Amino acid sequence: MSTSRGSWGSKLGFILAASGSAIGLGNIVFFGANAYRYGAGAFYLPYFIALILVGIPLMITELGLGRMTGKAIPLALREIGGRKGEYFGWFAILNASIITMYYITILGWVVGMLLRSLGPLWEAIPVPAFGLAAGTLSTSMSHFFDMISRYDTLGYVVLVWLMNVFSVMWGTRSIEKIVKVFVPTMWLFMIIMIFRGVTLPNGLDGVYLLFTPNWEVMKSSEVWVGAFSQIFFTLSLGFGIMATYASYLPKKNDDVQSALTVSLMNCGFEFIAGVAIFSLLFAFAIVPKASTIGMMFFVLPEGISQFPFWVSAFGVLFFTLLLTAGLTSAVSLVETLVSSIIDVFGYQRRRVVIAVAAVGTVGSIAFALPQIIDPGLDSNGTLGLSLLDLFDHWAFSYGLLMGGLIECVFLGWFFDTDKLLASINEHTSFRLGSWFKYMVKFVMPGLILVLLGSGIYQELDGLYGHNHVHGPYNGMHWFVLIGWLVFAFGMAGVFTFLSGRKLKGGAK
Amino acid sequence: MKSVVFFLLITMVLPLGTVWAQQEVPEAAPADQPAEPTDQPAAAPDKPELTTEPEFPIRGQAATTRLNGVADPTQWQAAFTYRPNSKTSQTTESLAFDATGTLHWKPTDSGIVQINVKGPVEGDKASMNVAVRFPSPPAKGIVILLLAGFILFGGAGWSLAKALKK
Repeated sequence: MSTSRGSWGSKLGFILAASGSAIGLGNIVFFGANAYRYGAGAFYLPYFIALILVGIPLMITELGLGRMTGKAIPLALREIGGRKGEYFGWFAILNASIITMYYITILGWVVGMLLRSLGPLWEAIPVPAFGLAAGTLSTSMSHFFDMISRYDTLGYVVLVWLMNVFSVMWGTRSIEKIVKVFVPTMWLFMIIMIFRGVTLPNGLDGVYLLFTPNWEVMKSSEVWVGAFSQIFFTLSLGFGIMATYASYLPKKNDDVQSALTVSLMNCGFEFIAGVAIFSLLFAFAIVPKASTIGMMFFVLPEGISQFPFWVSAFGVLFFTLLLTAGLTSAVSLVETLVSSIIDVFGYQRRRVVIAVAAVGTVGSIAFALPQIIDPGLDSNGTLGLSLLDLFDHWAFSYGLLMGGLIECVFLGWFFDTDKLLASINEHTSFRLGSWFKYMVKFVMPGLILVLLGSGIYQELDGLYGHNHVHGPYNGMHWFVLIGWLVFAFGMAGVFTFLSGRKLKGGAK
Repeated sequence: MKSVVFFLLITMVLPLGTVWAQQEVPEAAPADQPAEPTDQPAAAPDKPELTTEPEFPIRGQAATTRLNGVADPTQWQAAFTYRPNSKTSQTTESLAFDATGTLHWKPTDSGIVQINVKGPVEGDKASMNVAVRFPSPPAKGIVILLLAGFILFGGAGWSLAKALKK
């Protein structure tokens, strides 16, 4: 179990870390927003089918890849597909690092709102940066836009990066310690939220709404695309995280069992988050917008502010829950990048962590820039939030799907699928049949291609962000698209080149 | 280790727990009651205010929406949007209020409904959201809730216990 790269102290440590990675802000807020967006009861059954058809098989594949090779994703894919494999592995990592940067920015805002929820969050305030008087926006909205238009918010972003540095500095040892505290804490907090939600008058009708199938609405293909996308994103697939975490596992690990445990725990958490959120939405007849930021910072706090008692306490609980769930995911994102660099270049962990954090902090600060570029709040308000929205669109909606597709293509077409199946079946008590090979080779890549195609088709109406208000930064949507392509695809080339030179130098 | 297994067992029974928890709650209205309709004459300019009775209408049963604060309610019309802001939202044809500012309607679907009213003058509008309840606990919904809860938490608990035993 122990290698020079480090290893998990226990199976529980790995499961908590992997589930902590999968369970993040998306489970708490994005699931609720997406479920509502795609018709609630019409969404849940397709979502469950997607979990079985794509989620669990892809999780097994990603864990198998990491465990078999004992390497983070770039080197794992190099073992399978040579330099091409490594290039796409770096693409997945660099794409994930963009997500890491803005994810940490969002966590910085969570810290800001957590501090405000101790006191003034529940009273409307003016937002001088936008020239808005008190009462123009809802209470939580006014605080959010006031917060993101201030420079002192950048301090929260730095603080969250410091928390991440502390968590990954000692590798699996420190990660394990953190998740053993944070993961049970967030489950506990979520359970408190669920009881609060369903004990609200008529809250249970909101729960019925989430689970009662609406066959008519279910006929819409959009609902199925939304459900499959949700499963893909919620399980942290396509980031390379699961492969990296599995690379610290012993060679005899049971991948099927691990995949089942992590996937079911993740979707179980989403289940209770859905119950809590839908009961809240129904009890206060709140209409959500399908955006994580909106649900997190406006919609749910708006519901909490209508609680008859303990508003502040539930506000603190909610933002602490977001912070703990978000941190365990952010740690896994940072660790994936750190571990890939260590694997390939052999640098000291401490140096890599500091370098990654320094670059990452600059990136996260860019996503928190408070300059007002949309004073009418028709789009995103500040420069930072606009950049975040646009980068998120490409890195999250396309980059992750591409990451998943790359894994399936390399494992299904460049690697002997019989070998993959034999390796997984060698140590599992849940033996997989030959159907699994067809899943990896045809079904999963096919479904991912459908999701990608459906996204690109929607882009034909106009590139994402083309109708947003960007103030003096005309053409920002093009700048971000090109920036994403250069960073993820271009830098992947640079890393592959440098890795090749290192390999030639004989010091892999 | 034992505490984790215990914790998972607790979460397995959550779906049942939610049903139990709801039974304990009386059918009381939320603290923030909308203002009762008044008989006072409307002041100019129009300041439309909407209320709906019952506060949580029930699917298939009559509900009443009242419009106050306007000079001539018959000039105003209401449209009902089911599942607003979702990919599957549907809006009904507009219905007119009577002279007393009352409109009777029957919700056709459970969930959140947005009532949008428009007046004779461009810009005269108001809206309110109501949550339409199920007439009775839906059997299919409860079955899926329990089944999903059992598969997710039962499966995770069993799989985790097995992994830790190894």
